[in-house]
Amino acid sequence: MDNDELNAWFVQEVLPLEAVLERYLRRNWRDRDDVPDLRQEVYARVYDSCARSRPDSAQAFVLSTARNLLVDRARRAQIVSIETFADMDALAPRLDELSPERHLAARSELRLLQGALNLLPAPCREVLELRKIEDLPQREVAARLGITEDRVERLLAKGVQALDEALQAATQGGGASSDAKTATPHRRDRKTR
Amino acid sequence: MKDQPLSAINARAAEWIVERDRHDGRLPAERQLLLDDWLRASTLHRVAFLRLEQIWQRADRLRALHVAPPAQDIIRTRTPALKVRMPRFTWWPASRLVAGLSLALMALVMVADFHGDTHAQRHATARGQRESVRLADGSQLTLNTATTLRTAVSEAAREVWLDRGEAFFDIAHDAKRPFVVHAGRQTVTVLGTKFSLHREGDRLRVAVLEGRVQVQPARSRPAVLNRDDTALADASNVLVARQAPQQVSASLGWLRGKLEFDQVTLAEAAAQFNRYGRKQLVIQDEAAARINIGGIFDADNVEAFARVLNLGFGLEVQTEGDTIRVSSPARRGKPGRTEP
Repeated sequence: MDNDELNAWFVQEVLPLEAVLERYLRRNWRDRDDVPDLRQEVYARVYDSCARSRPDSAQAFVLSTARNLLVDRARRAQIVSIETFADMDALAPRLDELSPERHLAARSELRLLQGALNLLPAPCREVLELRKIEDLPQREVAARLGITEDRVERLLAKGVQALDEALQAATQGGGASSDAKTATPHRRDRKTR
Repeated sequence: MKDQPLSAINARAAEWIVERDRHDGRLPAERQLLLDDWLRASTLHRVAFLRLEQIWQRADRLRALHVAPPAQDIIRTRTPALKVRMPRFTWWPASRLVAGLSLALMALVMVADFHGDTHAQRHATARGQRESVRLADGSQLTLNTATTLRTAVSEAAREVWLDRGEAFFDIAHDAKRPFVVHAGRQTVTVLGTKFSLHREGDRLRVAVLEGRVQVQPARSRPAVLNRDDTALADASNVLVARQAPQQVSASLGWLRGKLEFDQVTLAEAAAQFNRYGRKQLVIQDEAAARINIGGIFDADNVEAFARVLNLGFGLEVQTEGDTIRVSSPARRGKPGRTEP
């Protein structure tokens, strides 16, 4: 499969725009619970339509894809009457959203990750710490904790998803100061432990 | 067609990522086929996978928080010492020159060099790459970043020419066929052992993990190194130093993609990192260059290292294209400004 180059492009150019994309979606979509799904749908559309040729500006392309998706969704679901979108410019990305931005200043990345890690339930956090901070292979993590390798694998799989959610919460909190309201009572229907 | 909820897709993607991690980054072939199928089934699967995989990798940066068991800080710092730190080397008796003999030896080596080359196989790695090569005799060589070597193994002899770079040698024992490595004008001979060679122009660094290694400089007596010995050889000298076992294995951290520093200057650490990536660290001032660094870092993640310099030492880090500039905080770097 010759997707490696596309995958690399996607990881390097599109994924770092996640904060920009989410901000755009939240600003323009009423139900925030839909945002993760919308985000993934935008990613999928971007990925598919960039399989052959890449846009000059990934950011402009991602945002216009998001805009089209919102229009489609609004039409199909009839959540909002079509008049709302009579003025399509309302959905045009704002200037601040178009300015080049990387997801975060490099120096706060470690702090962000550390903060997110601390939000995880204890068992997930423990295995992630041993695997990522101590750099132990999974079988040694299992040995160290006296649990099976399968259990380590399950906890790590949960852990990476929980880390994703915690990072979301921290990023949405507006960078440095994380918004406790969005961060803490995060919807989590999985039971950990 | 039923739509899978995002949480289910993410859960599956996470399972794949972690399963692959359990197999040291490489799924067994039949599992890889299943993963490929799953990825192909929907672009939503693929983007979820790529996204979570990136988060999984981002988490590697947490390793900067790693605390080495004996020490309390990831970076053990020492105020830049005034005294010049002498390497813990002892001079091998280099005064006894056997010039005529070694010149003759050198000529022999050079003849062998041309001879061996006719059926030699060339192996090379690019910057940042690492590669393992298994030779016909069962020996295994691992090439570090930016390394070129040639190998020639026949019924009669086993020879390697290390043209540049660094390699780890895990040599199959064979008393009848000594294993000879030519590195410029130095020759290293072993029977069966594990050791590493790092060639920097005419200088050769040797570290012995197991067994015995004989190092023959161009113009001096040979030196025999034992387990845990390291040596620095140039054309006329061999400096041998006995190391603690963990220091030798630390110097081999690159086999796992790591750089391990034990009280080296930032200047040395930067030089090490600069061997691996396109991004180059430039240390702007003398005070920063003299800071002592210890700790374990990913060789291919110079950005993470730069972040630690910023977090741990308050050094200023500026990235411009492929150059990462590191300098002391402005009050020290700027002339003409008085100390607060």
